[in-house]
Amino acid sequence: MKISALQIFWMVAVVELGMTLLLTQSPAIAAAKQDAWISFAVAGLSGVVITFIAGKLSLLYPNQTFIEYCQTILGKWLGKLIVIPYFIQLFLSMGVILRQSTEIIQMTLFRNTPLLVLIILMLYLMIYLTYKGGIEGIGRFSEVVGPLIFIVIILTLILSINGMNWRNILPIYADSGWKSILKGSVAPLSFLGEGSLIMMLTCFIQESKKGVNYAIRAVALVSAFITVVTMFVTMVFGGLASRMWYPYFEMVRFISVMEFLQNVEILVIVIWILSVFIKLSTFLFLTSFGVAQFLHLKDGGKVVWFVAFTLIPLSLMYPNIISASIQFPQKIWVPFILPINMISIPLLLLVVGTLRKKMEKKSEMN
Amino acid sequence: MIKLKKVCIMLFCCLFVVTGCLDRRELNDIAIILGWGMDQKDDGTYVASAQIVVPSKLGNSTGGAGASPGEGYLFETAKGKSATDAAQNMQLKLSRELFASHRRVILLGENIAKNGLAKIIDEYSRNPEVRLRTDIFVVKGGTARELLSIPYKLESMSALAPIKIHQSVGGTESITFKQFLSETISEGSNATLPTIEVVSSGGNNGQAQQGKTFKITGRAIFDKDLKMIGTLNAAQARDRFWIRNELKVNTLTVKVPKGNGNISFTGRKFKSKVKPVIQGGKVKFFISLFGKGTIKENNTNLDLKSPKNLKAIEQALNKNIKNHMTGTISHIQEEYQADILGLGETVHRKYPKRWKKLKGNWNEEFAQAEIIIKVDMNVEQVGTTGPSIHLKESEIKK
Repeated sequence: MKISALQIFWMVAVVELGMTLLLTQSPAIAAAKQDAWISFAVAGLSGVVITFIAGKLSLLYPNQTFIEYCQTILGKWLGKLIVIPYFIQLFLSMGVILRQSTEIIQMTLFRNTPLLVLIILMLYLMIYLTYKGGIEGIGRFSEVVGPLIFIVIILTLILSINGMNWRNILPIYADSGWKSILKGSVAPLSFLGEGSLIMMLTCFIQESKKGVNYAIRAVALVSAFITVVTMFVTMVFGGLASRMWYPYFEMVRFISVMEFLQNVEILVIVIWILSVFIKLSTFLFLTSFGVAQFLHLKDGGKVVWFVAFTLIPLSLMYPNIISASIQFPQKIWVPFILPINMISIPLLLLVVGTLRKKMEKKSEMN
Repeated sequence: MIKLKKVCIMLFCCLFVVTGCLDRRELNDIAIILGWGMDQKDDGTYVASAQIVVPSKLGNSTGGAGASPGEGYLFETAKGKSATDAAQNMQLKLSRELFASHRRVILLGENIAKNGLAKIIDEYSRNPEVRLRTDIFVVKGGTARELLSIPYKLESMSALAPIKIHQSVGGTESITFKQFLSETISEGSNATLPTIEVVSSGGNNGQAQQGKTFKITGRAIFDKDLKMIGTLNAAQARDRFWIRNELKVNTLTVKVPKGNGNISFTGRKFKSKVKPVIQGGKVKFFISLFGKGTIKENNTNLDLKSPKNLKAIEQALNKNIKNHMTGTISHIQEEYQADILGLGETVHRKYPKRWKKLKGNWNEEFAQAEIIIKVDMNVEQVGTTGPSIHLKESEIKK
């Protein structure tokens, strides 16, 4: 049950791309206006650093799972305690992603279908892929779908060129200043920082060093990609983009080549559903695997069902789209998950782990 | 055996969650709106009118089976407090569900434009069904209802005609609504919309009585509260397009003094460069206009084979355009004090720091700004004849 470096590349790229592309552009553009692309570049760089730290950490003990090496580094009890925030992160984010994605599917495709039906359908497919395929299945699926997703997005960018006005991006920097640009980068960073999950994935990679390397490259690629997409969106819509929920999606809806090639947004919805599906399946796998190991359960498969069912209330608990898409990131994700789960804990583990390794080496030499 | 049972149960369970026909919307269940009009009565209520596609008739009229204009669509109106409310009331008369995804043109009566658009245009971008790629027109001196009820011979759906006319006279391609919104939220510019007017058409199929038709007449100018404060005529509207670098095609007829007559020039490549300069607190604009095209008509006695004469024509064009442009700009500056030329945005881009102080009362600054225009026209082709073919050799001016 191991995946290749290329598979991890596409898996990380797809996990990072979908939600970031759709959900972080609006807050970033609202804060940094036409300089939002700089926000994305900044967020991307920070995301690469976060992934690098998490990757370094996991390479200390490449053959141990996250839960195992937490205990190796911090001891049994502290090590158990420190993984709990990650369970909270995974459960909450799966719930909210499930909600947002099905909400968008409902809004754009199935307006009369109840949300619960869409959620159950999505869960059913997730369970199938995770239960039957495991991480290997998810890896292979990403390898097939990943390039497709990128190709479709590049295609939509090319088709948008004739609606662009490059002057919309001017003046650079003068209107916003560093404060606004940094403020705009928080939302993208909180999504791109999910690259830190590489620390849970490394133990499943065949060549762990190469795999981590590829994962970092995937984060860099996605960041650069979204920076370019944001530039396109700004050039097409100018200031209007900050008022839209999903500026990229609106840009695709706006495509019209010679009044002939129109209404291509359905392509984006399809690849986006694929991307969210991979993200949710990856998270579902990591959570189920983690829960099974945490509670010393032998049958990991049954845990998948259990975790999946808890996601139904977790996704339905938000009263409306605003609490899921705006309040949740603002009140929970950015103030807690980003600094604690993505930055502090990996750093702490890395420092303590490195020291411990050095001490072990010393004691061996002595 | 047990496995088969399991599979069967699984498949059966799937039946309950598969979306299938829950969301089916077939062509014969929906009423596709193509054109939409809004008017406001004196008591403040809105009247919506719609042109709805009748699919069975639409095929006939394009097939040339003798369907008369006006048969391809259903015309319906309803009152309401908002666009959606009016649509709801309209639904009471319709056997099919209103479907706004293909709404391509929105007409606003002059009343609505004068009372302000701020309270009525939200739906056109919020409703997830509709697209931002829409054309909006103001019906000058009339109502949208009247305009939408006029059949138009060339198009089976008369609502499509305004879009096509607008494009064929050099206007933008179905992005008037997006541009309107961009201009609205930008601090350095005032919003505009193209205007359309109901006019009588010359002769109806040889019949003596005159029918009605409509005509694109220029552009409506809005103030910051989105109330219509005035209009530009068609030529002025084209000048505006040119300065904003949006002009696609234009025909100019100018008098050439040297040749003692008119020439008509059709241009297809128009460009403009706006250079703002701030000198001692005063804003100055240098606008350079370029154009390339063909001479389609030459009513002078000039031989267009000679480069000298071409030069004279180009000079006449330059002078004429410059005069007209100056007239248009001072008309806008003096009459409306509203920057509809996007000049504020050029200052914003070049002097972002100074702009923060200027933008507060930009319209006054704009009204006082000195604008220097330079025109550089280039006649690329002169048509298929050199001198006019009917002239005697002695009349031709080489």
